[in-house]
Parts: sequence; C-alpha cells; structure tokens
Amino acid sequence: MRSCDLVLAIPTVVRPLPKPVRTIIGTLSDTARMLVGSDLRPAETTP
Amino acid sequence: MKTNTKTTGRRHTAKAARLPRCPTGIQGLDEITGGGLPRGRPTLVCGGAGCGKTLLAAEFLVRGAAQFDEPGVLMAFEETEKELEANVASLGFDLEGLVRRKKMVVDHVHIERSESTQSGGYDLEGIFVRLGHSIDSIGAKRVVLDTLEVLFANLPDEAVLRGELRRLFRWLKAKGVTAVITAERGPGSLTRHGLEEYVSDCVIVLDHRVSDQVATRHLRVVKYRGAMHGTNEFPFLIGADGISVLPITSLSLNHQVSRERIATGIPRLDKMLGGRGFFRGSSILLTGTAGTGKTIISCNFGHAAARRGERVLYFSFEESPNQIIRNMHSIGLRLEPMVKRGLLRFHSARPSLYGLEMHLATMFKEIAEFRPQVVIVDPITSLMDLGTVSEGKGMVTRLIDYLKATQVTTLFTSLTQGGHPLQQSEGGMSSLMDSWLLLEDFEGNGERNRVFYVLKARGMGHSNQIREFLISDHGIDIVDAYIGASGVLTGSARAAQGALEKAAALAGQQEAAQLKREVERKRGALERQISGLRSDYESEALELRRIAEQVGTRTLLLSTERAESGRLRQADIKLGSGMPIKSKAGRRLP
Repeated sequence: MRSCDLVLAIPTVVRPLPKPVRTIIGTLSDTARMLVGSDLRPAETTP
Repeated sequence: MKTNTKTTGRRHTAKAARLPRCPTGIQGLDEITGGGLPRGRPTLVCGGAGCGKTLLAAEFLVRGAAQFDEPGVLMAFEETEKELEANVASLGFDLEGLVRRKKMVVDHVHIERSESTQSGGYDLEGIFVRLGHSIDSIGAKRVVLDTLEVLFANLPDEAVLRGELRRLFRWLKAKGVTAVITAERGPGSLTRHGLEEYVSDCVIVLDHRVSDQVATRHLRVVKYRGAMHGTNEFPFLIGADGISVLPITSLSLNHQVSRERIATGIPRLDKMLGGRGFFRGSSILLTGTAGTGKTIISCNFGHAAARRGERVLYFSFEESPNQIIRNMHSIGLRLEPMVKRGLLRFHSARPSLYGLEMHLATMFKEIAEFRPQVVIVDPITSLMDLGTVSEGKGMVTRLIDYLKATQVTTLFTSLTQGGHPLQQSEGGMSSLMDSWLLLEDFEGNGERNRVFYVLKARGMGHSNQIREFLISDHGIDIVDAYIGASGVLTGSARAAQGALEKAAALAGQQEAAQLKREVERKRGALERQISGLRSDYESEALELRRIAEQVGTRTLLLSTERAESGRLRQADIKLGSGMPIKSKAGRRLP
C-alpha cells in the first residue's frame, strides 16, 4: 500500500516503517500523543 | 380565475421539468422515481446490514458507465477494489473492464483506528483531493461513497467530522456530480450517525424482512425533494443480473384488447363459450378441489395452442415436467413433440424454493425470454400461500397486467380446499379474471364424478349448464349431466336415468303402436259398415228404379190405352171446334 493512500485527513503524518504502519492525524499540537502514536515513546511510561 | 389556474399548472410542470434526472438503469427504480435520481445532487441510500446498499450504489455506477456514458468514481471505505470487483462480477458486471477503459475509478480508502492517533486539529481535505483527482481523471459524472460512516468509527472528534462532511456534500453539489452515499440504518433514525441531516435531496431506504421464513427485500423512496415519486414500499430482488425493483402500483389499466378467440382444445367447451373459445389475451381461472382434472384441462389448452404453432409456457409448482408429460400420455395427449419443437416450455419450481417476489421475477424473466402466446400457471394457489393475501393478490395483479400488456392468454389453476369453492375465491383473485371455470366433484351412489361449469366469461355468451366430464384413454369427453327434479345426476346415476328414459320411451312407442292398430281395426270395421250400408242403399235404389220404371211403363200403357180408347170413343173431340167434327160426333150417336 502506498503511503499516500493512507492520507485522508489533513495533516497526516505516516510512519511506514517499521511495521506496523502508523499514522498521526492532526496538527501535532498534542506532543505527548504524537510521540506515543508514532511509537517514539512507549504508551505506559507515565500512569 | 381560469388563467390563474392555468399559470399555476404551467409553473408546476415547469418546475418538475426543471429538475433533471439521472437514470440509474436499475429496472423499476427509474419508474418509481420518475426517471432516476436527482442529477447533480447527493442521494442517501440507507438500510441495515445485507440489504443491498453497496450493490445498488455499484449498479448505479456500472450502468451509468456502461449504458449512459457517464463515468463514475467509487470511493470505498469498507471493501477493497478486489473484493468489490468479485462482488459485482457475480452479478454479471465487468468492473475491471470498465476501470481499464477509464470509465470507472475504484478508490479504496484504508482507514484503521488502531493504526492512527490524533494529535491536534485536522480536516478532511485529503478526501477532497483524492476524490477531486479521481473525478477529474476520467471526467466522472457519478460518485459513490460507500460507506461514509466508517469515518465516524475510525476518526476522532465527531464535531470536526460533521463539519467536514457538510462541506463535502456542498462540494459534491458544486462539482455537479450525482452522488450516492450509503449509510447504515440506525435505531430510531434513518442512519446511525444522522447523515440524513446533510443529504436531504433524496433518501432511499432499503429493508430486508423475513416473514414465514422467507426473506423479502423492500425499497422505499422516503424523500425526493421537489419531485413526485412513488412513496410505497416496493419489493426488490437481487437476481443474476442485478437489482430489479417491482413496482406494483405503477401499472395501469389501459392495455390493448383483442377480439380474437382461441380454442381450448376441448370442442365441447368451446361450444359452451359461445362456440369459439376464450378471448386472446384474457385471463382464465380454473378452480377445483384435488383430483378434479385441472392439470388435464390446462394441458389440453396448452396442447391445442402448441398445435396452432403458438408458444406455450407452463409454470408448474407441483409436478416435474417429465411427470406431467407421462401423465398426459396416459390420456392420449402427447406433449413431448411440442417440447422438442420448442413450442412448449415447462418451468418447474417448488414454491418454497424462494420468496414470492423471486418467483415473480423469475416468471417475468422466463416470459420475457420465451415470449409465449399462452402462459399456464399450475397452480397459482401454491404461490399465493407464500405470502399474505394482499401480497398474493398484488402478485397476481402484476402478473396479469404484465401478461395482458403483451397480449398473452393466461390460464391459472387454483386448488380449493373443499367446501364451496365460491366462498373462498382466493382472496379476491377471481375478480381479476376474465373467465372462470369451476370443476367439482360429485359424490353419490358410491362413486365420485367430475362436473364443471362456466361461472363467468366476460364479454361472451356462455352456457349456464353443468356438464359432466369424463377422462378416458383418448382425452376429455364432455357429456350433458342429467338435470332433473332430483338435482344433477352424474356417472352411473346418469346412465341409470338414461336407461329409465329409454324404457319409458320404448313403452310409449309400444302404446302408440297398439293404439294405431286399434284405430286401424276401427277404421276397417267402419269401412265394412259403410260398404254394407252402401250396398243396402244401392239395392234399394235399384229397386226404386225398377219400380219407377214399372210405374212409368204402366202410366204410358194406361195413357196410350186411354188415348186409344178415347180415339175409339172420340173423346178428344172438342166441343165447338168445327162442324165437320160435330157431324162426326153425330156419328157416335146411334
């Protein structure tokens, strides 16, 4: 699947690799969610 | 006043004409909507799972591309291109070919909640761009969005989504494309997420209901802004060639009628119907209890038509074709050659095989394919048992209207369950029929006999008599039933009555002969008497003549004697007649 096929909302950030594919929708103003969504930071760090 | 109404009338028609339609090409749907969906506007198609939303939308696109030269874009949120291709290919649509020829674009939008995260505000410009690109790449006139509600499940922030959808529909209208948006039906509202708020030009609701274990799909146009449309619920089918909606009410009563008459294959029955049989294109009902010979009469009718070279389509819902052919063979009716020559076609199906609508659609299809002049439905009652009374009547009405419109003569047989057949006239079905023959069983004297009569025959003089009919090795034989003071006599009772009548006639003949002999004898006696009298008379007359002659002779003799003596005595000398005589007289003096 092409990355552009995943784009629906604007703006969208697509992280095609490593699998699974991740997309982050929105202006990325919520930094914490962005980092969790892109697997840059594990979700269960802070309770 | 007059001009006023005229102008409003014109304005009304002008308004209707101003709203252009976009034909769907779906059989029946264009009829209901008066030509198709509103052109250049979005239409909402909603319904529960498995009622055919996606198929309706896909057919709208495919037919648009293939039949009306209007390319289309299918934006699918649920199914992939491959899945869609396979789905519509099963209904005979070549989606792949249309895509290859740039008549269609299928765009699968992959969206998965688990794979995405929201971070901050967003809009759906991505959809706009993709859709805009697809539309422009092939010059699409039609767009299908199937199913937008997936967005609600997979995208956060519903308020943003609603605003974006509102914008999307406005944008589609501005693009001038005719769009179909499918949506899942929600509890208590037309769609689960209230899409009808945004798409309000035309709303079609699909429904899939099960009654008596038979499922029927229904279609209803809930809303069609600014246009007349059929508001009823119409049954529809997904058949081998797509969707077909069967409008009940759109049929009208203005078909052509024929004066031509066609023979029934039973000469005596023709005679009962004014000597020439049924009208071509009429509908005939044949009611009777089990074993009264309905199928036999139907087959005779079909056989006669096939022998005239007409095509006959026989819908059998109880017997298989081979069974009918074999059974008819036993009464000397050979149907096999007719089948071989392609004049007679059987269509056998168990009534419970599928629902009423599917049966009707199959029948329509068969009729359209075979183009018969005569259609026989044997028996119609097993079909009518599938639905409610009104559904059954609606079906028969549609069938009759369809057949009458094409001048097809139809014979329906109807199985009655004992009792008086008139009292259960098949839910008013009989009022739809032009002619009605009634077959009955008469029980008595330890035997059952078949009788039949013509209950009604519109537009022709017909016999009011009850006739008995016999089924023998060489077909049907109609005989007069004996109708007397004691009622109708059939079978052996009729034969006994015949013998009685014969004996009575013989006795009468004998009596007459005896009377004749008596009269002869009397005449002889009279004649003898007359001749006796005559001879008496003759002898007396002879005697009379003899006496008269004697008397005559005697008188003559007397007179001559007297004259002689007179002459001797000169008695004739008249006094004073002459002197010489006087002198002569003096001679008498001594």
